[in-house]
Amino acid sequence: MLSALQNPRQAAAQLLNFGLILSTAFMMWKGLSVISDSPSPIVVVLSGSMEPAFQRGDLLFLWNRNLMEETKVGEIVVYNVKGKDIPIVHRLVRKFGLGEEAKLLTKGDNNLADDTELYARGQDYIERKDIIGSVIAYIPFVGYVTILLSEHPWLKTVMLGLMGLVVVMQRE
Amino acid sequence: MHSTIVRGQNVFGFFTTVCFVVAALIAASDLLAPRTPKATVAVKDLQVVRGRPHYYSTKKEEYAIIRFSLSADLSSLFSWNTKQVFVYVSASWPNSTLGDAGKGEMVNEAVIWDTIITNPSADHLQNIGPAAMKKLVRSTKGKTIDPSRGKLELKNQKAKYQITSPDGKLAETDNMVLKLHYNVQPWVGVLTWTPQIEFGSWKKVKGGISKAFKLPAIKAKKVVEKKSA
Amino acid sequence: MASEEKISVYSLADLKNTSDDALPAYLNSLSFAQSHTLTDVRLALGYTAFGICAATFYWDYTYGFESTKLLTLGAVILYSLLNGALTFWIWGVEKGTVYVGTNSKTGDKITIQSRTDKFVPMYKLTVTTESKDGKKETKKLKMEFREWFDEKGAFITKPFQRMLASSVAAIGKVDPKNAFPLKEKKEKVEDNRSMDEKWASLLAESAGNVVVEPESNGASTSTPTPGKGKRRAKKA
Repeated sequence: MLSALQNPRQAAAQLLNFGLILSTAFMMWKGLSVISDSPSPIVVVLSGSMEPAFQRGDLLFLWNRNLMEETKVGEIVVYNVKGKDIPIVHRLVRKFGLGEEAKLLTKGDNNLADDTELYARGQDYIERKDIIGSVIAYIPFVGYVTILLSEHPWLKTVMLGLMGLVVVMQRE
Repeated sequence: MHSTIVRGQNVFGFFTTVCFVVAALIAASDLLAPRTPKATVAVKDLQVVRGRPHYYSTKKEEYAIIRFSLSADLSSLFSWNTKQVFVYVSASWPNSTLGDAGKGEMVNEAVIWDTIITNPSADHLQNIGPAAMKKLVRSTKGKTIDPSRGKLELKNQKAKYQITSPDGKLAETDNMVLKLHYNVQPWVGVLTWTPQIEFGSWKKVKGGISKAFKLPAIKAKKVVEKKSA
Repeated sequence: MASEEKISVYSLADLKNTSDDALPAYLNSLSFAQSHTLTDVRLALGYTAFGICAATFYWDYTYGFESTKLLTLGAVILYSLLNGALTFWIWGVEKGTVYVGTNSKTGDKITIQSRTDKFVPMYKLTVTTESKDGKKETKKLKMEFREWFDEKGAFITKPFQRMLASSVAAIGKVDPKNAFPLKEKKEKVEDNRSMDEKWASLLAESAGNVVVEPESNGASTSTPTPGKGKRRAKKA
């Protein structure tokens, strides 16, 4: 490690290895984003409102293109509400109209009432542009790590530190 | 393989690889199980009322109350990778306000009834009371797959959700149909909905669409209004 | 050189990396001028890709996904192309090259590629020498790491340099004091003797007689080997 610092090319190469791991992960994420046309093509379930289909920590893959047909009733969509940071995963239960103008209503499988109360004040329906994708594939539990990380921020620091240490310490 | 950390890394890496390969194989096995669902849906009773469709509705509007019967055999949708099947009946009708663009197309659609059928392997995840849970678990003791749960017989079933319209007008809407749909939720893999085209051994739903019907004119129904007030 | 640093002798990567690092240090001290073209191209490709990623991150962070979608698509394509080129460069062009250099005195150009096989503690070198008149020669070497690492994991310079100088003519030429004749040659000398002769010498030794190496062995005897006979003679 110390000898590497004496040789600028080797130091640069070692730094590059670390940088390329990070950047490849980021570019794969972005690649997935542009393919699925969704700003966030993989999401982690945070609430139990879609139980028993999805539990907290499950990983969902999203698709946000309407190649063959429009987003329709019965699909599970992830949407943003104005003024709220965290997107919501719920099922589309009503749709009035076509295309961008269509008025959409959602409901969680595990909730008794529809989502009207979750929407912004005075908003009765969401629109297609509020949706960041429909769920197309599912892997259980894998996303629980991110929930742990966000609920215990110190874990994040520890993990990043360990990862950095391991990558810098060893070549290859 | 020279230190505990490296060994740990290798073991963990191998473990995750194996997990993902196994998961991928399980997900792919879905394609091998043929799906041949069939269903008949029929409308039994129709009413259009003016009032508040939900307890939290702020304004009075027209809404439709439907009774229907459903006979469905979705047992082929249950395989070892099925977590649950979400079954729903929707009403769809053309939009009169859209003009030519909406003509003939079923551009409005609303779910009127749904149910979640879990595979016995996912029973413990259901949000039901302890008594009902006990009964559910006992009904398929020792089985992990129970296709017989996919058989539905509903007679004169009341809709769970009223049909509404954003413009508040629904009376005498013509060309409405009821449709049965399903959504298979796997333990791992791709979610699937009622297919629009046949795909390998996955067939389209046989039947599953009611005859077109017309909603009646408004019926003043004071009982419902009172209840929701 | 990394000789003060100790490595884990059970880590093949550490063994290889330390040896790889020792190569340029040694060769550059023998008036070889190292060429960094291969490494520089790799670094340029890698850092350009990294730069594209950083830019993508910046505009995505400041302007959001929707308004920069097309730009991001372009960046993703460019990034994968650059990454592909980088992979090709490492696997198809560099092929494990750890040293390229030209000697300022002899004009010999030397290219060294190194590799190891999984779980086998052997250092495999492919040395390509190109003399001034364009004659190319490729030599494959395969040595055990233990020849220049002690059991504690310290790198010992001398046997490593000796190994190189002795087996590659272009290096031996400029570092004659390390260019020892190879061990194999000595063994060859012995092998060339017939069984009878060996027995004879053994008997003679045990009897305390001075043994003279047989003279009739052709080319191999013309090199001045530290004669076994002489040593034995001393002992006797």
